Amino acid sequence: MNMKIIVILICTLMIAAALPITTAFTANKKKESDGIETLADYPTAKFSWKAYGFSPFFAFVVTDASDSIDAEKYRWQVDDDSWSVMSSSSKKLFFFPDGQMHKINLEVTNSNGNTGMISHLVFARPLLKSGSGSYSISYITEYDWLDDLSKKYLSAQSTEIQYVFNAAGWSKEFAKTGSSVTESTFKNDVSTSNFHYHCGHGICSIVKTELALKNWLSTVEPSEVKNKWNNKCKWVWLHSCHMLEDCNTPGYDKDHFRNLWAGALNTCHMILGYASVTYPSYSVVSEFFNEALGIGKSFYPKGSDILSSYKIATKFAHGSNVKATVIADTYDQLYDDHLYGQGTVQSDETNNDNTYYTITPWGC
Amino acid sequence: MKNNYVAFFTIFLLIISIIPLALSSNSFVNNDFKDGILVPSYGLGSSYGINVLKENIVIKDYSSSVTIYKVVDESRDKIIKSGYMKPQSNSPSEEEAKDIADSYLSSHGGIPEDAVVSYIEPQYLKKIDYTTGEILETRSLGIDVNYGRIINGMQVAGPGDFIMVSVGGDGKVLCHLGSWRSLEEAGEVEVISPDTALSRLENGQVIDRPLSPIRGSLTVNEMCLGYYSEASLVYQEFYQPIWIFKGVDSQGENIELAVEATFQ
Repeated sequence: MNMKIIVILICTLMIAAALPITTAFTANKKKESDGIETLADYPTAKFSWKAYGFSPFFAFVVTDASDSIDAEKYRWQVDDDSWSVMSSSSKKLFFFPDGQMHKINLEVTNSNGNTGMISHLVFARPLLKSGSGSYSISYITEYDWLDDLSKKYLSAQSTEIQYVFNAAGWSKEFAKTGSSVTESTFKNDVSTSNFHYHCGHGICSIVKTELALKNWLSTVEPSEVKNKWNNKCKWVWLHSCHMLEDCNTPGYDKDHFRNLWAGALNTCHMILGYASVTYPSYSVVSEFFNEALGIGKSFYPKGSDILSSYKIATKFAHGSNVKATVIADTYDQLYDDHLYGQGTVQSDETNNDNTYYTITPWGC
Repeated sequence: MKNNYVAFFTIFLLIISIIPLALSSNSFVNNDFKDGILVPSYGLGSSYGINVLKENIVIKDYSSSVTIYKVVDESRDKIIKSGYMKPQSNSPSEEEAKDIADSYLSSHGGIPEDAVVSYIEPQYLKKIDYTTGEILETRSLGIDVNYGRIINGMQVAGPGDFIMVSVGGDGKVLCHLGSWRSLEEAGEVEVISPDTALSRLENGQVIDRPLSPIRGSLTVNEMCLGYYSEASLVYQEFYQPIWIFKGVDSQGENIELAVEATFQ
C-alpha cells in the first residue's frame, strides 16, 4: 500500500473519531434551544401604537397587535375599564379626550386556550418629532459557547427602541443581531450614529471586562475600542453585566474597569452601563426613553437629561441586586446632555485631558 | 514526495489534536457527560443548569404552604427636584438621612406597612485620570435611602416594590421614586420542598437569567421563601411564592437567584 493511501486512510479514521465531538456539541445546542421552545405553547402578546391628534387635549391611538405570536383572540383593556374582546382583528382604535397617559393591556389567547399578556403605557398625544439624531442597535441572543438569551425579551427591547426613536424623528443607522455583531461593529460602526444600544453577555475576568460576541473566542475588549468612539458617536448604552463594575483584583484600582472603558470616549460623551449582573428588561428601555424623550409629560414635554433618565429607568426596572452607573468625558456632558431635540447637548471635549467623571454605582 | 506526505500528515494531526484541546481549554467550560452526550457546563445562567455547591445551606423559615396575594392597586411616585445628583454641601450622615427620609415619607402619604429600609447608599461624583487611575476629585452627591418590602417575614424580590428617597445638602429631599402594589390575601398555596427547589436551580429554571455567563460554581449559603414582584407598570395579577437563593460565585461575587416555589 503506498504512502498516499495510508495517509488518506488515517485522516479518514481521525475525522470519524472527531465527528462524535462535533455531533455532541450540535446536540447540546439543539437541546438548549429545545429548552427555550417550551414557551412556544403560550402565545406572545405584542403591540405597537401610534397617536394621532389635532390638539394637545385629545388624540386617537391606534394599536396594532399583528406581531403577536400564535394569537387567535385579542382582548384590550384601557386603565381599569372593562375588557373589550375581539375575535380576530389585531388592530383597535382608542379615543382619548384628555391628552394624557393611559395604560393599555393586551391579552392574547391561542387555540390551546393559553394566554399571554403585555401592558404598554401610551401617551395619548403624538410624540413630537423634535430630534434629528441617529441611532443604532446591536444585540445577541444565540451564542456558540455561552447560554443563549431570550429572543423574546431582547427583540422586544430592540422594537421599543426603534419605535420611540422613529417616533421622535431619529434615523436608524443600523440594527445588527447575532453573528453580524462583530468587533468591527464596536470599532467602526458605533461611530456612525449618535446613540448606540447593545444588549448581550458581558464577561468580567480578573483584569478587564469585555463584551461577548456570538463566538466567544472573539470578544470586544476596551483596549480594542480605545479612542474609537468618535465622529457622530455621543452615547453608548452597554446593557450587559459587569462592564463598569468595581474591580476587586488585588493590585488594581477599584475604578480599573471603568478606567479602561473611559479610554473609548473620544467624541463619545457617555457610556451607560452596569456594575454588577443585570438582566434583559423591556421595562428599563421603555422607562429610559419615556423619561429622556418626555413621553407622558404634560403640555410641552421635554425629556430629562440622560443621566437622570438612566438612573430613574434603572431604579424602576431592576431589582436591588443590580447596580448601574455611567462614565462621562466631561462634567457638563455628565449633567447637561439630553437626547437631540430635548434640551442641550454639550460640546465634545476639545483637548483630551485623559480624565473622565463617574458616579458611585447605585443599587437599583 | 514521501516527505511531503509525512509533513501533510503531521500538520493534519496537529490540527485534529488542537480542536478538542481548544474546545476544552476555555477556563469557563467544564465538560461533562450526561446521558452519553458531551455537555459543556457553563455554570450560572446555563441552559443546562448551574453548578451548585450546597453543603452548608441555611434554610430560613420553611413552611409547606404560604399565602398568595392578589394585586388590587399599584402606585408610582416620581418627584425630582433641582440639584438632584449634583454635588452637595453639608450632606447628612447616613443615620440622619434615614430619619429625614422616614419623616418625608410619613408626611407624603406614609410609609407602607411592609416597607423596610433595605440599604443606604452615599453617592459620590469622582473625576479620574484614566491613564494613571488617580482620583482627582471626589464630591458628595447626597445619600440615597432605599426601602424594600417584606411580607410576613418573606422578602419580595424583583423590581416592582421599592421606594428611594435621596437626601442632599442641608437635609433637603431631592428625589423620591417609588413603585408599590397594594395586595390582598387570596388564599394559601403549597410550595415545593427545598430539595425540589435546589433541583430547579441546578436545572437552570431561574426566574431572571443574568446577562453574563458564569464565574465557576455557585455556593449557596442561604435559601428562603419570598415573593416576586414584576417591574412597575408590568401587569401582575398575583404575588406567588418563590425560593430565593443567596450565595457567591467562584470569584466571590454575591449572587441572588430565584425559582418559582409553586408546583407546576
